[in-house]
Amino acid sequence: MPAIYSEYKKHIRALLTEYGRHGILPGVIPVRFSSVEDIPADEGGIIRARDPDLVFRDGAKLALYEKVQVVNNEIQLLKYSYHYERPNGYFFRYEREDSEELIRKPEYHMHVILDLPHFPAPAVNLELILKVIANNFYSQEVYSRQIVGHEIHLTV
Amino acid sequence: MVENDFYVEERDMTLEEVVAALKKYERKYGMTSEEFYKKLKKGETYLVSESVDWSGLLEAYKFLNGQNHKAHRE
Repeated sequence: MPAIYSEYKKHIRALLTEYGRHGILPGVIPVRFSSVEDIPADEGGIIRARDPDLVFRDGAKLALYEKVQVVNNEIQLLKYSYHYERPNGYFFRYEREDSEELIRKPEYHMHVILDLPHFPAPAVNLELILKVIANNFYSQEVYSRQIVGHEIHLTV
Repeated sequence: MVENDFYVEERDMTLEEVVAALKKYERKYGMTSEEFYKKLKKGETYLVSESVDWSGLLEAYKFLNGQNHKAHRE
């Protein structure tokens, strides 16, 4: 099992390296780890990038938090938070968080632009989140150009 | 590792870093981490954007503080 957590950390490094190589994540890409009391150190813990966040080439940021544990020889994301925010304040955040409220705060949820509501969301992981960000905000395709640069002024 | 003008910097968090991050949240939301934890258990942290991270930092703090005490005893 120790190898599985170690391999997962290598996987995270490889992912970030890939986006660094493509120039999407330039500069320092900070990743921090910590053990926690309820998980043996070689079977999981916390993976975090926040203050400093991961910074994209246009100044957008991704704050990352994962609490992971090897269960049945697989990595389980027990909790996570992926908060992507553009320089103008637009953000989305996918989270898995303990909750007993199935509708107003599902365990797997996402936020867009505002901290409320908690919209139900599928389970995600860092690999998918980076793909979503890269394809929507950093692609040269027409689709991406239809998203980036738009202004919205709204009142809920 | 330096390559193509980027650098993946990996390391373990220190107790001092965790305490500083906790204090930052405490200042931002005007409550202690203990108060936050009680609200978290009651499901009253809807407006704390970083509640997942804050609760994780508390777990890291418990671990690192425990290690620190153990080291001092030895």
